Amino acid sequence: MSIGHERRMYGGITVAGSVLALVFLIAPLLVVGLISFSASRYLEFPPPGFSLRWYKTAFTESSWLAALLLSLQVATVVAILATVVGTLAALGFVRGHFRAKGFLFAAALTPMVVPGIVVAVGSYFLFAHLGLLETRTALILAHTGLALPIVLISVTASLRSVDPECEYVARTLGAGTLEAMWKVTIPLVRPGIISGALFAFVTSFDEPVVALFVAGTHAVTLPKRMWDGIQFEIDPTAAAVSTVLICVAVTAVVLAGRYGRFRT
Amino acid sequence: MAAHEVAPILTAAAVGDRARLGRPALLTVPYAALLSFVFGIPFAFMVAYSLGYGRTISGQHYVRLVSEPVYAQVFLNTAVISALVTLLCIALGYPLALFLAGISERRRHFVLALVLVPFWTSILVRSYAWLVLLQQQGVINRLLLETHIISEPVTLVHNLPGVLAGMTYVLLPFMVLSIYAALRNIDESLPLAAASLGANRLIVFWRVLVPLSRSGLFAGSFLVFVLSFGFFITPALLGGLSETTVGMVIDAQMNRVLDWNFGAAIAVALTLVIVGMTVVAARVLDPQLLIGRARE
Repeated sequence: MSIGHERRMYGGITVAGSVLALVFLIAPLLVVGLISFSASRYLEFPPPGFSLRWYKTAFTESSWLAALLLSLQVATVVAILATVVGTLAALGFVRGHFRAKGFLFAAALTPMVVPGIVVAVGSYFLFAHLGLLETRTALILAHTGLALPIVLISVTASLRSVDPECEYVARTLGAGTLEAMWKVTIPLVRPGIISGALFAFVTSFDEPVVALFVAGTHAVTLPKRMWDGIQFEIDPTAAAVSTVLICVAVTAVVLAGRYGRFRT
Repeated sequence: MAAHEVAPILTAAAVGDRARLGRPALLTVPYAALLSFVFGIPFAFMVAYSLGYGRTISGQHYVRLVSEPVYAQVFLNTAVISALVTLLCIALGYPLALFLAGISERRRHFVLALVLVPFWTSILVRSYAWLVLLQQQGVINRLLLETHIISEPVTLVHNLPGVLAGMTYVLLPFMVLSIYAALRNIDESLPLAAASLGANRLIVFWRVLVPLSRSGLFAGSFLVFVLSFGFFITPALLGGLSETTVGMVIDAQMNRVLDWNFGAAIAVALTLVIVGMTVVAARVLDPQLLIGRARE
């Protein structure tokens, strides 16, 4: 909806409000980034000097490094698992015909509406009973549950714009059902799959609440380590880690914009 | 036979093929299985614990939740905070959504990215950022002290303003994107027509754009309210005692008091409240969402 210059939809007030909102959105991230390069041990502003020591701590100190690696591992597995299962389900929902499809689709999205703390409590009970507390497996399972709806939505949206005729045509040319899906539909849906996978990765990598309940001391994820760091430490290492996570977000947005569905 | 007569027959044959090979609906089974395991069973455990599993089976935890006034107060507090956050998000989000909908394609991609980057940034990082800004020795206080606007640090965090700032910050993108999506659905010609009939920008906004994007406003408000109701991380980091939310109480019961049964009861209550709100909203919103296009 872009109108010509003289007929702009928005006036001075809107621009002012928007600038305020945008500054509000971006400034905190910039401030954290600035602090992360501070030479001071304390959260001083303006920073007295420039230093990379907090990044060094973040990447070399054993507890931070272990947390980073664990989060990377878990998030990668979650991204793969959620994308595969979610894509299959999307295909099933869009191409399949069964009763109560609408209701079941809504039910499939419930993890998105349920508060993180509730998921965390339930997960805690489940994994306590399975003896899986403080394990990678538990984190992977819980995070996959949280990521599945996002993949489902992303792939479904992409799928809805693909003409089912393409698949039928492939089958008239001799392909089996699965082969047609794999060679024709899936490549057409790739942007949705990529967006879903990116979002699944980021969801797991950044997830703090379930990790707080399930991680304990043996499966400490980066968010869990950050939470402890924020509560008990005063140096800006948390700011350095935060800046890294902000860069992850920027990367994800750029990748999604380029290779994924450009979601409005 | 001409080619266009043959094709439907071949297609029909292929479709018949599918019935033999199995329904695509089966592809949803792994998803359903995983979700039942990772969400269904935990929820069942939660209900079980809330009814006394592990100690004595009874409804006492629910009775306690309902009869001790402090818990009703916490739910009320949480609702008030959520309502305030929603209003703040509308105030900041509407102008931005309007701006986004009105600018050129290229600039829009850039501005959208500015909204999406915070959106994709960890909640913990975003809450921590406000801690850095609002602390006693934090950025804002420092700036005010250095410029001698104040002589002593102001308490900006571990209180209501702190929580509101942080939660609004986290949830604003949801509001912006919801309203923006609705505005995008409005037929371009309508505001143009209004303008050509003599309406100024304010009238176009108030009598054309706002009514037609109502669904986006409602959806955004619902989303922000429901999400803030369940928040734990942000109020825990940025709030004080009087900003205790339901999520924080659950955490306290589970991790400090170690009363799993009571914690589970509160969690179940929270879930019911949120599901209740969702059901109500679905009835109000659904018809709206169907009318995504402009009406006469």
